[in-house]
Amino acid sequence: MQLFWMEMRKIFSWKIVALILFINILLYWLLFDFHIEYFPNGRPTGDTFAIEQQLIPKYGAEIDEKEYKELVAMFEQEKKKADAFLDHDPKATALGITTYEAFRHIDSEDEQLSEYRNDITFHSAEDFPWVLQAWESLIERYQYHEKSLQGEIERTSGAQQQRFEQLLNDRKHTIYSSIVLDNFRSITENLAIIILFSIAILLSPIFLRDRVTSIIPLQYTSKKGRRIFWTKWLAGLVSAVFITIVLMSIYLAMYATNNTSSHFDLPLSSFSWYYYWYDMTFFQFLILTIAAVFIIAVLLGIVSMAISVFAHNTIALIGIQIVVMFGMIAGVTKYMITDIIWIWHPHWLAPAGYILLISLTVILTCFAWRRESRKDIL
Amino acid sequence: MSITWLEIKKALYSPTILILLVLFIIFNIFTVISNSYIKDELKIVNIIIEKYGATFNDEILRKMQEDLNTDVKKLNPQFQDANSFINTMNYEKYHNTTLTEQKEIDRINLMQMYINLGMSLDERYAKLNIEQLKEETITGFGFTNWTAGFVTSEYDKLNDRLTEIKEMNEYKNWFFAGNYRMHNELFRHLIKNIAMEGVILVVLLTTLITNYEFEHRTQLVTYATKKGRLIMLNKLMASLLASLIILLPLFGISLLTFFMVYDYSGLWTALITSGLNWEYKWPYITWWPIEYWMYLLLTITILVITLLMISLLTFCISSIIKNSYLTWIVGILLLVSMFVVPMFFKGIPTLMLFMHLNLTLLLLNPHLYFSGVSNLMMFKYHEAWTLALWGLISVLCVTYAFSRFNRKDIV
Repeated sequence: MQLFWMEMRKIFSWKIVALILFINILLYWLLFDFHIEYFPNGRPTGDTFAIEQQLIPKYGAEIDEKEYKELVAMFEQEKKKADAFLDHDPKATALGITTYEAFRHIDSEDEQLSEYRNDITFHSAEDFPWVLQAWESLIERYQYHEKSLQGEIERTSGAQQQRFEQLLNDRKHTIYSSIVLDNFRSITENLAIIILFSIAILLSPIFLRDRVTSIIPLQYTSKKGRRIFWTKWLAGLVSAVFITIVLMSIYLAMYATNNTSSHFDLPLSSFSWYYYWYDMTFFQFLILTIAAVFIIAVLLGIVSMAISVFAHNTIALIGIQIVVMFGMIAGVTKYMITDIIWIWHPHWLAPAGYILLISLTVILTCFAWRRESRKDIL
Repeated sequence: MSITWLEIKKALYSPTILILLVLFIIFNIFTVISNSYIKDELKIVNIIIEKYGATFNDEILRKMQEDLNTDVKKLNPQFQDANSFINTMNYEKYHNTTLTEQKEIDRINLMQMYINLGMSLDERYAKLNIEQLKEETITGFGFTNWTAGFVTSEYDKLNDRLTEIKEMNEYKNWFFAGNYRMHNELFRHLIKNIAMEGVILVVLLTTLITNYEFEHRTQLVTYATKKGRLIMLNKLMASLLASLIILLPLFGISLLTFFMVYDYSGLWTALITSGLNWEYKWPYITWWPIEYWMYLLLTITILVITLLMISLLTFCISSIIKNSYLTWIVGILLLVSMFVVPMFFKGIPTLMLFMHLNLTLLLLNPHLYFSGVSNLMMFKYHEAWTLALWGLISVLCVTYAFSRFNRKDIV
């Protein structure tokens, strides 16, 4: 046990910890900050998000005919407010615009009119052009949901088509946008990248370090002998789990400030634009994705330890890790984390990927142990 | 010399570096070929240049239109001019014609597109407004006093340059139409990728050579010989030369593939400022007329010099840290932070302006070299100033690293 803690201390040497801290600060600014700071990003995205947060507790995921009528009534009411403003605005009346409909269909060729529209939209305190735009998109989504599903059924075949038919048969009318999902996908992708970099940097030198400083002969001839390999390995595994949990809680706490908990209970099918293989709520999807990030992170940790056994020297270690990280970022994070149950990839792709990755990890570790257990000490 | 060569061999015989080099070259070739589906359409520019010359004016455009109209009449006597022919063309009609006719229709279509683009340029250039860009920059970054004055004078110069371009009709020369984004394809995708790969290789091989003795525990022998610590000088030379040797095939094979896939034969002397080379909101307005081959040559030169400076800086980090693993991470992190850190200084405009003199920006933006419309990198001789500043910094760092290494324990 004492040896275990000593190995842990070697892994978390202050230089490496300082570097990981620095990397996290840099990558946070480079990859993460934007999705926290600017969520929801601009208008009318912000207005849509605000309206959705109002509607979800009231109507839930499914909107029936009656509720839809209520929604339309709310839209009309907002429109009336805009009409009242335009009616009382001397500039608007001078230009002959008295209703929102007229405002909406302003001819952009006409310089005076379009200048007025831009003034109101971009340079005034009036919210209505944006709020109404958001409302329009909500109503539109209700109307076109079935049509877009039918379109997908025509375009696809096989299992994908069946899934779309199933979605259509459920007849769940959606009005919600993909803002929250878009943001969540970017968050998990970048979270995965940051964690993977941290793990690779932490664990790559674990076995090589002792080889470079030539203390392996001492260790393997001691009473504990070559079983020290597993002590180191366990220390590596525990550090991988530890750092993943720490980083994940920090970054997910930041994600919590986006206030998307209002959307947690919505099923994935009620978000527009993205279609998935399975029915689950957004919260379940969030848990699934986080579990995926966790598993991939730990697997990369184990693979890094195996690479650390096989690499002859630091340069080779870095070279192999460059290729591995490229594969991780370009392939694994996309196909096995953010798009894990996405309909446009075959539904067996992600599970197959996990099976392949896990077996590869196990095989590599076995080979590493075999090599270490039979190696000539001299 | 022989010691330097032996040091170079350490890098060149390293399987890691060779395998990475091969992988990078394969990756580049793959990306070039996978984007090359438009290459046949692009050939028409070479035909236009051969037939009508490299530059154009209203006279030539009119003649081209007449020629095209006669071609249309030959193909289908019902039509008098190309425009009405193209407008009435639809999917069914197109598929009912023979293959040779289809090719002719495609050619007419493309020719008409180029003629239209050529004719629209005068109007589009008249609409360019540098004043507005200047104000957006000054208010956007919150420049005051000195910085505002500097940016204003640079944009005024740019305005003069734009006037000159308009007067000399510099934009009226043929190039691939902007919607193919060929300037981007070459400089922003391929050459930027090469630069990134170059950074990886150069940093890796420099730490390999510099730290070799410490990694292999031979430092006590090597640095205690008669040659002693002066061998670091050989290592420095070896790093620079090995970088050049590795960069040669990386640039060479990747670019050769590119120019074999795309036909640039008539375009080597085309100007970057060509109005057809208008890809995004602004055309490329270089500070002086640069021909295409010259731009390519200068870009490669700038990138190679940048990479050699990165090699020098890596050498300094290596000789101080004496650990390849940490050197590699610190080196790459420094380059990344050059990109990130300016964001923190939004409150101090002067400092932020100076921070745009950084190597990472040079590596990431080969498509915007010498350009007057490129955010805060727009000022004249930005590239030269950056290289001069970092050249100075690298030389100082190397001097310091040497003096430090000569005094420190080598254990």
